Amino acid sequence: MDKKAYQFLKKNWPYIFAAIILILLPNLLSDFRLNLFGKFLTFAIVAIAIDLLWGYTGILSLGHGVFFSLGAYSMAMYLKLKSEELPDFMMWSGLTDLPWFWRPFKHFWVALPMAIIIPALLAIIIGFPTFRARIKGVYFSILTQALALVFSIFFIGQQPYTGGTNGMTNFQEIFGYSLSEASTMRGLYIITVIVLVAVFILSRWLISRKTGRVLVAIRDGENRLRFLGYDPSIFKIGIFALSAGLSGLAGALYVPQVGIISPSMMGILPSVEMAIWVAVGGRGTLNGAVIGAITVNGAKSYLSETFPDIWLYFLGALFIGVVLFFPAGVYGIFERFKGKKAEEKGVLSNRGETDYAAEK
Amino acid sequence: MAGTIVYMEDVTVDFSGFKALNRVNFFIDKGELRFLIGPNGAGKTTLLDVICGKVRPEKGRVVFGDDTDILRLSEHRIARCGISRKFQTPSIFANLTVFENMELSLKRKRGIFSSLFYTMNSKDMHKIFSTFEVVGLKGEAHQKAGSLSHGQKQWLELAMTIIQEPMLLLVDEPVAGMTGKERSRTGEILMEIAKEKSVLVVEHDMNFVRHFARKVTVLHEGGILCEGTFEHVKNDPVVIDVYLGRGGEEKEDALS
Repeated sequence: MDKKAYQFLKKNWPYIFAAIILILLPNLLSDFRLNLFGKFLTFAIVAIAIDLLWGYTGILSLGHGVFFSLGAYSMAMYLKLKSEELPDFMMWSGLTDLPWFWRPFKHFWVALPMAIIIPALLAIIIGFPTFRARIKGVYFSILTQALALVFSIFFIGQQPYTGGTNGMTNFQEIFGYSLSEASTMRGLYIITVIVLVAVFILSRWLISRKTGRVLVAIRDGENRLRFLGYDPSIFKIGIFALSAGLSGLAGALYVPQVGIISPSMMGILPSVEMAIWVAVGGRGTLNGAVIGAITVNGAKSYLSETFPDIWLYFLGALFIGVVLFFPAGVYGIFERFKGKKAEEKGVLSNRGETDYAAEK
Repeated sequence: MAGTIVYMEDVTVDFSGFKALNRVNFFIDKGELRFLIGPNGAGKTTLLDVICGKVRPEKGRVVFGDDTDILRLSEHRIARCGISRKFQTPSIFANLTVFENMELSLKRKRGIFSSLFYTMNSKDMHKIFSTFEVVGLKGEAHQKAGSLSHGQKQWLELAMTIIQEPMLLLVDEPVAGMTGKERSRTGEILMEIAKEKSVLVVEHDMNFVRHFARKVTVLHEGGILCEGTFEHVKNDPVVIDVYLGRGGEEKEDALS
């Protein structure tokens, strides 16, 4: 084996190992579990997206449920039109014609890009005025909460166009494959794995570039960066849009596997939960984000099966415990045990040590 | 090198009733090393803030170089024009390495996509390490900037302002919290920079000023009190009265 390949393997073997396990899982898990795990992996994509924004750039969005759901709805519209000429909820609401904005979603190659573009565009529309006006920190988080509230109310209210509270469900097929077949689900799972790996690699590349350093610099000293000649708002708008787009992509993968999307996914609660995945896993490391999403959701479904009455308390305790005792998250504990300095940049090790005159 | 590098006319900064700067007229020539002294609250830092765009004056005009109207530009544009700033308490990126701090400060295109596709070439590498030679941080290049000592952080920030290749450096209390040895080293660094660039230094430490200053401007209560060589300023009766003559450390510093 030549030296370069050896070096690559030595550095990346845990990732390769993890990828192989993910690919082999369909042979190890029951169809039900696999489907569940596929859902977790779409959440892992959202966690990466939030981590880029929060862990690296220091912008906490509590409205990512909206971006995730917009992607999910785009895909759901396509799936719905595949199943019915006129979606059932439209008929119930007395619509006889397909609304104009629904028509393009008949085509998969419109619906899929839209699942990324619509959330990204919304992020730009929100981000441009807010970041330009230098609204940040908790004010930005509150703003995104309001976004989640507004969107969920709006989607509930627009019953004829969105399916209202019930959202969209009863999908039949995708690409001619029946969505009730286990083999289709396995295929969707594998696609999710591939997308997750691609998103992970893309994010790692982004972080490894100078852009990654700029993002960390925005987190730790935005004003200082300004006096070095950078315009932080452009970077913030960019990373917010990317994060929203990736979340939308995750939503598009979620819908065919779970079979339903409703406004309950875009409200405040799921949006906050998404931030919790990242906090538990470990902010500022991509590994942490993925581990967090899978751990929290795995714990959630295990606990809700085993202790249906009190599982929420466990989840709350898990969150409080991690945040109080392990600010670097589950992945941070892991790193500490390995006794190795966190390799990835941006681990919150000595944050707050320096005061920034520029911030005053 | 003829002409002024920065020129302020009738600048007033009002912090809700408190006039931090009151109708100040001030200029620095190209290639000049200027020291700005004065008691606390005299408006020294505010003056730097105005030049780098951090504070917007209520009134007045600030011109950089031949005809750049600074008051119309946002902070990052001012920085790109060639004005770099070192803050009073070291402002560095603690979670990045010393080297990465320098990489960010390099005078390169600073947009999203240019940052995404930027790869360091040997020329930039050389620039960074030759600046490390000047400030003596070569051995710490790959350490996290947050783990440096206070003096080293000051030097790192100084190095970051140098590597921006500015035309004008604004340096706020560069020797605060430094030991005697570090102080003279910092003075030498400033002298070295001033060979090629214009430098404006705010400093409290009179020993340091006496040692390195060529020309000194004294600010008092938002206005310029006196300007000239250190000797001239030191013997000015008004300056002695309002600043040097005041009790405490500064007096001893000034007269020792």
